[in-house]
Amino acid sequence: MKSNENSIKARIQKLLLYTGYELIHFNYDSKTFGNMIIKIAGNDKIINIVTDRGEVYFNDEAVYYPLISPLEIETIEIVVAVLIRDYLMILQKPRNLGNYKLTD
Amino acid sequence: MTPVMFTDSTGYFAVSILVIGLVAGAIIGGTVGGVAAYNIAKDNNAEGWELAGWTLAGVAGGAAIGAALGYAGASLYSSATGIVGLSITKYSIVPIKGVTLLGSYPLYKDSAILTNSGFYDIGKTWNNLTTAQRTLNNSTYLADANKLGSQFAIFTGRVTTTATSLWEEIHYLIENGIPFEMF
Repeated sequence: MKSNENSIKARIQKLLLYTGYELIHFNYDSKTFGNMIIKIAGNDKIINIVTDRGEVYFNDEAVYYPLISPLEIETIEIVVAVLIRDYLMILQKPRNLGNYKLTD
Repeated sequence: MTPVMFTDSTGYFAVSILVIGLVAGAIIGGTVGGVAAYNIAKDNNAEGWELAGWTLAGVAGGAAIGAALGYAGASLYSSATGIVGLSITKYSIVPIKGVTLLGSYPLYKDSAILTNSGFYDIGKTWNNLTTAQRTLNNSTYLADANKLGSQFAIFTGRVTTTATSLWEEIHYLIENGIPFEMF
């Protein structure tokens, strides 16, 4: 399980390269729904990202609800990575992933 | 808590820890009692119906003693762990405690551990369930906890919006008239 945790952490750190943000806290709760607590800091901001039963929260704001927008293949680690990428590089606000496909 | 087994129309069920102790004790005690009585009777040259009679008496006596010991053991276990029963579905077995905490992660989990309360957790199995299966599994847990007499408390550190699991849990409690406290 530790290797899974390390690989998720490495994926997030790779995403943050050249963005001005860095990963300052990562906790992967494999026993409780595989929930994650992630803190990234940069540009004088700290973003808290929490997954809770597949739901994803950015600074306590729900940005992904699997109950209403389940993915074709729901892998929460991938969902989180896409949302962080969106936030940092593209939209500055995570998009609705309702029509997201893994090939996007 | 009266030892009662609860079933529902889905085939999922909740079982009191006292019932588990009672039944397990009766089975083990009955087996041990029956074997012991058979051997003693055999050593004393009992045959036929007489041997069967002594064996059955051993089973009955052993089951009664085993059930009593099992019940007592389960009571002690329940007192020590706070676990009053189990919520059993085909996807999960979740312990039920006297108080059940719901809420936003990680607040409710941290609070539950600190107060030895129960909380819903089926590990990563959750991620492999469909939306309908998640809803059914979650509501079954709430129903089972309620049947086993657990008290509900909600710890949420953020605004609870629609279409979240916590929102569905709170609605389930309200729609079924199950009281809860909110912190």
